[in-house]
Amino acid sequence: MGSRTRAIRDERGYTLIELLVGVAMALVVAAAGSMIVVMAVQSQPRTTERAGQLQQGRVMLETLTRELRQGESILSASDSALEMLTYVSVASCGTVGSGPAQLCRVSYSCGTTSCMRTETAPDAPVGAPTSTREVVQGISGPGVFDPEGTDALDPTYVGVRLVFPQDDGAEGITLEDGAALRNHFDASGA
Amino acid sequence: MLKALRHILRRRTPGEAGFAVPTVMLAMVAAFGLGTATIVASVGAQQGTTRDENSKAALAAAEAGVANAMLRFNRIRTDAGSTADDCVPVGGAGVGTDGWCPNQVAGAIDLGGYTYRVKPTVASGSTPAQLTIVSTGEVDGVTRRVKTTADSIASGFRPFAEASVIGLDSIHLDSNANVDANVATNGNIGLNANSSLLCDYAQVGVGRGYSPVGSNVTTTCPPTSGSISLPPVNPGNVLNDNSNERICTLDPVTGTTCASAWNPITRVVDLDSGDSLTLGAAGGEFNYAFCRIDLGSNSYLHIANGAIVRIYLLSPDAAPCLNEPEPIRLHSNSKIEPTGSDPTSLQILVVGSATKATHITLDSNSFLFSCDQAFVVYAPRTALTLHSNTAICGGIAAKSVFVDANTTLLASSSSDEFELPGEEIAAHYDEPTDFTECDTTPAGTTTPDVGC
Repeated sequence: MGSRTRAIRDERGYTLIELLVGVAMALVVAAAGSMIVVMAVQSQPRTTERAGQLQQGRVMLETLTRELRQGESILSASDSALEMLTYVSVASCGTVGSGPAQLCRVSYSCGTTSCMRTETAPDAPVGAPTSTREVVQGISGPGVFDPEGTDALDPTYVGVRLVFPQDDGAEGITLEDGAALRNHFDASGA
Repeated sequence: MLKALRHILRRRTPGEAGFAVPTVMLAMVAAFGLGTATIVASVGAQQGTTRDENSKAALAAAEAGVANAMLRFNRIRTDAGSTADDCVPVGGAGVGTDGWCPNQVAGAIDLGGYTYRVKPTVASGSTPAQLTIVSTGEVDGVTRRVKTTADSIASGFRPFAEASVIGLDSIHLDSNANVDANVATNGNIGLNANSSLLCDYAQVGVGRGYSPVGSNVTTTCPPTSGSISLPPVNPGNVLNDNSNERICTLDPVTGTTCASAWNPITRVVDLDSGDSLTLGAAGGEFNYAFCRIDLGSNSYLHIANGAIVRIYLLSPDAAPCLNEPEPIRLHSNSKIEPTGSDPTSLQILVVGSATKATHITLDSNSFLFSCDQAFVVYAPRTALTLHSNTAICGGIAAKSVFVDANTTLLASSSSDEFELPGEEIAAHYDEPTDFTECDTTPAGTTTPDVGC
């Protein structure tokens, strides 16, 4: 009986000091947490957009290096544009739908923030099917392509560099790849 | 004991009565939640990177499959134009009804594995024989599939275009050996103490290098990774259509009399110490078909001025050279050289065997060729050993090259132009072309190149 009374006496209320310190700490933690949440919510659309752009960049690099690897020849190349003859698995050049690999004329053109891909038949007349689409955006262009080879007019390797800048313009994330033209041997007739 | 524990707990618990514990716990939960969210986001991003890495590794694995197929066909296949044994290099015999070899070959590289199937086609009209390869690489569940086609080399194959000394499996320079030539191998180039390799180009196999390297070694070029394959010698009909009878003379009284060094039955040239024999004649082109050349000490095998001489050392797989393991043996101080200074060409073509080991030995102080002329030894299935103080000048291609102490091996620029003779070299395929990447194989399809 006596010990029970002592236990009840031990459950006395919190002191004012404890309460004040506890509330202050809770406020600090809550404020920090809410700031983080607010920042996360605010940056979520930009983060999502950026993640999408990076994914788009990855897909473009994958597609481009595959086309380079299957390429026969580079028709023209600069740091912002690339035109080549390469094999593409489509029903016919410049149309949608897959099919056995066939030779198409594929070009990439990059501006200050995005790159466009155009596909058509190798000797396409005016009005022939042509497909053009944006393949990446959010980059810091136009220095994207780096053609290499012993003959400057007939490169056999092309390096590709996609720089996704930070919001303040500083260099952010860079995706880099490259491929040699595996079918170049045929194109030269050597 | 239990009482003491209860006492301690009771004494301490009231001390934790404030807000500190719940506040800290709340903070920990919040931090844990934020950390978890960060980790989940990071792992999500990392998965894309990992997938990219695996994708590239899978492509490399598929390419390794293509290289393996090329190697098998260029080093194992011996004939062309027959479909009965087209699939021997990948196991099996002939092609299936769909034209593809039934066997699927599997292999592995460091990062993953590959499988491939091949479709050999014989030459038809102006279309050369071709080898189509569909290879799939897989790394951690990511697959890449490629298709490529290699044309056979119909003529004009120049084995010494890039390197004058080729040892398919290895090249080794023993102490004080000196090689002044571009070299190529699929293995290592060994350099023992005080050896020197004076080169502009030295190719080693992928993942190989100068190994071992002794002290005080001289090299003038770094090793370059690559692979090299050499087609086997195609002797054609030289067994029956040759100039061997020139070694004999027709005596109207006694009949045919052959030089004592020549046995037309066993097809062995066996020069005793101090003997000499001249092959060919000025201005002519001669093909000889021997089983063995054995030059005793201080003997000489001469090549006539202005003659073009091809010596075929026939295969040990069949009569009359059955089980002949050493087609060329030069004993100490023996020589093979031209008789004068007129341009002369000597091509020693050793057929060898895919199943029986053969070797060529040059004993100490023996001498082969003159640097002014186009002399080559082409023996892609035969090991070549040069003992101390020997000297060779010309193009050398062998299964392996071992250069013993104090030996000198010099390149001859004229050997660059040497073209491997033969009616057709369809057994050798050039670098693959028509490279395409394929889609994932549709379910239920058995034809390897569907989707390519």
